[in-house]
Amino acid sequence: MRSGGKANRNLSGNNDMASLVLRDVSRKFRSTTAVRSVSLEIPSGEFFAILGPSGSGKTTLLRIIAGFERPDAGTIVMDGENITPLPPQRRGIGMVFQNYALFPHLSVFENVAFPLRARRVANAEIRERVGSALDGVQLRRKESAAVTALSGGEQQRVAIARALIIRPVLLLFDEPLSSLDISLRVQMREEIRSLQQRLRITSIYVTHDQGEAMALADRIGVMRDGQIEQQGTPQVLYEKPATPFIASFVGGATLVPGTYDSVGKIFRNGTFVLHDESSQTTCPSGPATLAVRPDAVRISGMGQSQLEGALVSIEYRGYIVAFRVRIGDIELSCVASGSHHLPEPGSRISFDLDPGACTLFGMEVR
Amino acid sequence: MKSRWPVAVVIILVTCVFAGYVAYPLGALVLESLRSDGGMSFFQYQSLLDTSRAANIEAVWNSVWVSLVSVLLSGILGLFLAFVFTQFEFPFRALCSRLAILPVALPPLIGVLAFLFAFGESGIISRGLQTLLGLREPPLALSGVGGILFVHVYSFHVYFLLFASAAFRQVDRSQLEAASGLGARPWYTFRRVMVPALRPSLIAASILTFMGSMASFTAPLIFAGDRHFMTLEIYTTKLNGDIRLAAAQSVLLTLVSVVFALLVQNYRSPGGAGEGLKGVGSVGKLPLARWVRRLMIPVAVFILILELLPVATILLLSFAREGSWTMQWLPAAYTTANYTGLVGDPAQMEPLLNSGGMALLAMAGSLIFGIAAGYGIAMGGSRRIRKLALVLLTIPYAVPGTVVAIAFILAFNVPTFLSASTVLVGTYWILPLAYFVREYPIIVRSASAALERLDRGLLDAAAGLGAGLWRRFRYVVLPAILPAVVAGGALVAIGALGEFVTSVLLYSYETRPASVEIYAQLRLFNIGAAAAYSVVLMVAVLGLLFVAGRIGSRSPGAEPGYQGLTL
Repeated sequence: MRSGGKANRNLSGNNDMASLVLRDVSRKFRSTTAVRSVSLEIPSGEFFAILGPSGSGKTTLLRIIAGFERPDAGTIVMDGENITPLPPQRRGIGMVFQNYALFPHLSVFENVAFPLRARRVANAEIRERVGSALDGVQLRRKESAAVTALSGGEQQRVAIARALIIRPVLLLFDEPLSSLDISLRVQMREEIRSLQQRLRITSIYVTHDQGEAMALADRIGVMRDGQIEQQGTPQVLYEKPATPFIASFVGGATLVPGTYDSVGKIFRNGTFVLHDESSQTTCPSGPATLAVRPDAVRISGMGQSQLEGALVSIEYRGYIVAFRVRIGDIELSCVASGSHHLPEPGSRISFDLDPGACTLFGMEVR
Repeated sequence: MKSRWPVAVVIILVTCVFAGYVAYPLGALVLESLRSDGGMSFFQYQSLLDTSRAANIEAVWNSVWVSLVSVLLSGILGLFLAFVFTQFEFPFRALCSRLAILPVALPPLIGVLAFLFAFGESGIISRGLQTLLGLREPPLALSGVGGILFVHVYSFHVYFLLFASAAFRQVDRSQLEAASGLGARPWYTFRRVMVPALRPSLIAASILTFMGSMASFTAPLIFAGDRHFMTLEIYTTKLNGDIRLAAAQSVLLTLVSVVFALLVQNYRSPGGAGEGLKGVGSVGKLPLARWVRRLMIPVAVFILILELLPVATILLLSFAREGSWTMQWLPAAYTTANYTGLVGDPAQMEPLLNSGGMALLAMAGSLIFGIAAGYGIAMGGSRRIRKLALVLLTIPYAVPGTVVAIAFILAFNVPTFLSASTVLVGTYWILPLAYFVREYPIIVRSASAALERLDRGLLDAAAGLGAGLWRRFRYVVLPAILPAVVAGGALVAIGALGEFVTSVLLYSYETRPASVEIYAQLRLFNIGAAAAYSVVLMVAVLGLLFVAGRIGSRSPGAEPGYQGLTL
């Protein structure tokens, strides 16, 4: 390990964590702009998720933070120090890759020891540090196993132990759970969360799964077309989406185009009219988009409600039931508690929309 | 598959052909090697290992050490080129990596000739350098063991290039990034991450190279001088009329080869980095310093040019007027007569027609037999039986061409029902039959590999939808294996077109193939004619290679065409 004079991020011991600031970071690939002038501030100890559909630039942004990609413009500042020109190994960052990137020819122990051996750490210290790292992920007893013989979840834990062994000040995850099956994914997501809370290590987690992001993160930045469209706590994103895209991507809302009359507080779609006297919206009159969250639909007895539609399909998922309601040319996706009794598909139903679960945007859907 | 009997018929037919044309000749060879005037004995083997007859011992020793050095040098060169072609981006990289594969497809005799004409004592490059530098002696004079090694490395490094390129491409990008992110320098990452991923490919390529070098005949024939090599010994023993000793020498050479061939079975699929790990990634590149790249790319391109020079030399000499290239650097006079003579004179055209016809026959036979055998292997028996059948059926791959010829002479110099009650030796038919036996394993291998990948669910689905056996074969099996099999067929034709090693022991004047004619013209110092024949063969081979590449690339997971190639 080279050290003299060169700036090395804290690799040597004390486990303090770092804050991270991105300023106007951009990256272009030939014709496409993967990351477009992104600015972020992540305080130390925070678990931050970058959420976005595939192709939104989230992985590129993570690779820029890790140092595997150079940004075309912008700076990355860690604890007040500009690390933009530093190569990956000098940033003090641990990364867990989507496919874990374990070395298939090395044992569990040697995989975790790899970064220490590359730094010529003494054997005794390697034994001790790898041992306790494997203890931390409950894999001590498998230390001499081949990584290829492990299950997906165990491989995942080896990858985490290897990322933590260099005592990074920042931990990056690139969709680490996407190749696991569902039940394991939920379990690993809890393990990652409790590990992060125990170590209080600043973490950035990239995912396209909004449920994962909400379960894990203190704050989420939602990316779209290379830009961060909104950032905030899971609750803020869910309840106060800044754009129709956020409402639909994070909240699963159905977007209904129409017009809004701010004097009468009336939203009109071709087929229905929604009137909400108590609305607090600042939306101006004109074309507007109403985002209707799945939990907004309240079914009532026939004729007792403002709206009427046809029940298109029902999908029982145990404790909840998902269903679709057609009203005019709009199909709303809705959920109700699993105990809720629904009529046969094809029946007409009468329902209200809970204004608290709807958001009005003074623009047309992009 | 509801009805089993068609599969049983296929398996029986394949077994009969294998027994008649592979097992029987090889059995006849072993028997002959054990025969002595009074009955059976190990007399031939005793005389082989008799230390007072140093030539035999020397032949074994020379063959083995030259083969080992060939492996080492081919490995270094192939690995270097594979590294440059997969790790760096530079203009014409794709073209370069394609050209670099050509040497393995060049008919062995032509490769050797090309080297002789380019780098030999009176070669164009040697004399050119001599003239350019004003030296009294040519600075290069390819001959002896050096010449043999040069030719071996020229052809066999391609195995390393192909296998190592495939393995380098399988090294996952995230693995290299993980290594560098974890603080490893490029050289450490290369040693600890890339080389282990490469190991299976290196072993497989080493074994193929070793086998190819052991079986190499043409290079020793031209360059060995008075040194002894095993293949050469067999050839001269046969020409001297001692067929029993030749048989014993053949058995010995085959044993060495087959042992290595069995090893290769265990290392068939090169690469395997990331196997058993979840997820997929993209090709990884080492973060190398700019000067490394600036140094390595020109060196690789220079080597590539050096590899193409011999081919260019042959092209040039094919236009040389006979007798115009004696003491000069370049031929003094040029003509197209070497080509017009080929077309105009039926006697000169004959070898080309022979080679073309025999290649077609060998290809047709290999396709029919190979598809049937591949189908039989894929459909019949347990996993272990299937593997054993594949090993048995691909044995001819490991038998040196010289040995195939001796075995055929012993098996078919008497009339049997296998040869329609005629003596095959001396006829036209023995040549395509020998080519068939040497080359069909390519098809068996590609057909069975393609069938292994075929989803059995498709066959069941087709059967469930009412398709009969023929319909299932025609519309499900055949489309799945066709690209791989047709590409294999082109490789069979390439091998048969330029075949020299077996032919030189089996031909008669009327049935002489092009390669034997090239050798004859060379001995008459008709260099222009020899070069013209070579160019015609090369053009045919390139055409076939293009076809094979085009079609083969359509088959998913196609193996890099590895051909048991004999020089």
